[in-house]
Amino acid sequence: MNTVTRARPPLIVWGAVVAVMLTAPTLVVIPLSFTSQRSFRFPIEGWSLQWYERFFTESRWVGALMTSLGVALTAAILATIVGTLAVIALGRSRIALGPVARGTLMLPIVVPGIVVAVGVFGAYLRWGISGSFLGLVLAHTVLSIPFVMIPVTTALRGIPETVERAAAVLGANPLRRFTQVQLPLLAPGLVTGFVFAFVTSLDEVVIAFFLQSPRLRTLPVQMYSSVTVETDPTIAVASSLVLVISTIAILVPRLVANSRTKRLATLTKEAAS
Amino acid sequence: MRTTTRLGALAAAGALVLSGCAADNGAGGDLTLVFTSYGSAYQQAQNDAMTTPWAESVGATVINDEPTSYARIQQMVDAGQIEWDVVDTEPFFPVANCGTLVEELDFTNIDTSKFPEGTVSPCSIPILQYSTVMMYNTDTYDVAPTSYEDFFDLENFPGVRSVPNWGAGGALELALLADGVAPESLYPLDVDRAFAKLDTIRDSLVFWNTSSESQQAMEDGTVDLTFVWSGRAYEAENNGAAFEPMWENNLIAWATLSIIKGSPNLEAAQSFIEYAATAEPQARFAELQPYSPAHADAQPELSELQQKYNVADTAIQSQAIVTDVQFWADNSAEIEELWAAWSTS
Amino acid sequence: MTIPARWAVLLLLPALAMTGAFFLVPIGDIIVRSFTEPVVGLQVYERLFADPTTWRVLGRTFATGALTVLLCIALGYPYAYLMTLVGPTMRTILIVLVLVPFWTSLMARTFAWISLLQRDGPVSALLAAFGLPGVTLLGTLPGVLIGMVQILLPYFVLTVYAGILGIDRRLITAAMSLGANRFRAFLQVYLPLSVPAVIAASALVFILALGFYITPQLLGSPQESLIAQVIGVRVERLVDFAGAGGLSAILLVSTALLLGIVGLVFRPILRALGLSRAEVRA
Repeated sequence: MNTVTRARPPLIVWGAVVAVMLTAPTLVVIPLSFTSQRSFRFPIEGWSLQWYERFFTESRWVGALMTSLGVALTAAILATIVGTLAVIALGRSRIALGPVARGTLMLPIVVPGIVVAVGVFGAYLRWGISGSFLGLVLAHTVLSIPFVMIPVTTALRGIPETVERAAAVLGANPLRRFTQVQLPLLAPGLVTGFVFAFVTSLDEVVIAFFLQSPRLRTLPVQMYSSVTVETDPTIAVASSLVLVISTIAILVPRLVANSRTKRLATLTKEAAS
Repeated sequence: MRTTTRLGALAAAGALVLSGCAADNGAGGDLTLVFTSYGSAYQQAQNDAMTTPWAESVGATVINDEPTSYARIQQMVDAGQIEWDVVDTEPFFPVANCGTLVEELDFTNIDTSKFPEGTVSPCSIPILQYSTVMMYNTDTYDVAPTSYEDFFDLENFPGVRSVPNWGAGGALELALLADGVAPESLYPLDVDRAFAKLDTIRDSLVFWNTSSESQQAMEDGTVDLTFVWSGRAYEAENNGAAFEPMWENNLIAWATLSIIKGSPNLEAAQSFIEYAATAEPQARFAELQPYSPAHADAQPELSELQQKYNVADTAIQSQAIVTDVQFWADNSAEIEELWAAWSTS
Repeated sequence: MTIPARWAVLLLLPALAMTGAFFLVPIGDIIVRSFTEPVVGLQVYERLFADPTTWRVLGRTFATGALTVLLCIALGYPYAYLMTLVGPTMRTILIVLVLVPFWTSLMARTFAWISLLQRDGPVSALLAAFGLPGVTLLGTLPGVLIGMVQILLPYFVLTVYAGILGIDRRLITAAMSLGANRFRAFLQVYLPLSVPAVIAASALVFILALGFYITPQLLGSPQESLIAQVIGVRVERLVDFAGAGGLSAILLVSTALLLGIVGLVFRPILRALGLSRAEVRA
């Protein structure tokens, strides 16, 4: 860094303002969840745990949380499996329609959520699966596949083909190469993809809103209904909980990523020696 | 490898458990009924007065949902996936959709002579009378507004106005009456004239989508003039909201119960409607929410505040205009389209 | 190790089948319905284009998108530039900070803004302190813009940052050694080189902004609905899937046209979205 292009105070201040704008507002929900008043007033007047109590005792909130977790876990597992298979196919082969396939699988990121929601809702009504757990899981899975593919593709690119070739030379068939060489090395990427898929499904509100039924209401949908109808600080509790869950979930890959670098280093050393 | 398999197995197990929990929600008892109404204290009162006693007497499980949405009903029936059994709606809806979206009722056990003339339809029974009334914020205004014209008077009564966000909600009648249309000539509604009148206060106008929202707005003081259901006005004042009613030309109507066509719990729904059609539950409800019961024998005992909002009171009735059910039954579909277009641009 | 094509197709099948059945088919279905309900023909589109509200909403949506882009440039470009100037630790911190909105729930964030922007809330108080008393941003387009910018800024910053990483800062030094002052050097050397990255980021933000639903629903007012909200109303209130399909088709075509134009001219966008042929072959 030379003196000519170092960061000057105005730039630093501007950067700080932007950083605050990006992160601080969301933190409001945490103190809000402890307000003693039935209002969204901030700063809050008085502390109380009543909204937390309400969240964990009212079936519509707890039920929504359970539904969300169930849908997110299932969708994330499905998305990780099919997404990883797709990545391996695209990354380790030469098929003519490869780019088209990849483009198609990535589409859900660019298409506006409302269009997907309205389309899926209309189709599901015709197929008789609107309001069903499975229907929502499938819709969320498709939405999450791109978020699995991105980190897994990066992870796959990081595996030198020499390692796989070495395994082949040592007598491993494709399946064993996959399970005992690729999969362990891809693991951190898989975990990242799984977490992204999980968080995507957990947070998804538009599709879940249109597909809802009295028995299938996810937490974001419950929050959305609640905030449009009445002033209920329980939604601040829901927001805080989701914040915490998502943050913990995102931090997990960081820890797994560390073990990956170690493992790859060992393997490469062994392959080279 | 082992860590991944372990993680995977854990996740799968977890997902199975949670999906089981999520799917299996409230299954208990042979008779089930899904009752949909307008939520909050209103629906809670309906539960206390009607659905819970009924459920206890026949051994049924009641699932509540809210709010009533005509579009959802249509979607359900179109798709053949009926999720609601009994719904509380505005009176025109079962009249307009009798046999198509709602079931014809079995009146063998229902005494229709106890209901006011013209309130019963082949597909619905009335349960209470409600009014859509103009409310003003006493914190904002020292001088009370005295007519609908004041609702549109931005100079003397500046501030945020709120009306129901659907065509049949009453805003069109409000606008026409404020524009000088005589109550006798109100129907059929001159929709274009009504929209033109509403456009004059467009910049100060907000909408409420659910009645709970309208009540919340009064309690929070985020509106200055609003047009709400009388029971919500009572609840709001009961909760300390600084609002007073202006009863001139209030729009009066009967809330009705009907059964969604193709309901999987037809027996339970019919049984519940028969129960709700009797005097006692209706009186009980009126003691919790000051709507006036439909049943002639229902004699609720009301508190002073409830009496203030009791729409059966002659003082209120003499100023009321009855909403034309047949007009709305015939024209709501078309007017909703116009309203949707007007309200989103 | 190369997998034979037959196996590759098999591995791709589950993902493609699911995406096809639960994404492509449903969207295709409502678009088809826009051409076939109630009768086969273009009447849905005739009705939509003849209705002045359609144009008003489309115009409003495009304008909001453009404003969002401008705000992102104003807020995000300096931030991205700052990221190139600082040391590794600080840079990681800045990246993490910009990524925070990515994983914090949309509902939580929007709810936070509802609380902050409401009548007599903290933002109102702040504005009053700056000489604008009695202003409530909740239920207004500025309120919606604030929410949208917070959500889209990370996309903008990261795309710009990826693009300007490669610009050699010594060019500025060289320009200065030739006599230009610091500002001229930046304006006439660095800025032009960063333009492709800015355009790529702007296009991305604009396209994403066109489809926003939750933010305008909760922070804006229905009288200032954006196209996604109108699509929602069509289905939610009027059960008009054909009309919703028509509006969706219009929205998708606009997005595709934009993507096509920018993609043809600017490779960086393709790379950012992971659609580039070169990337697949790598």
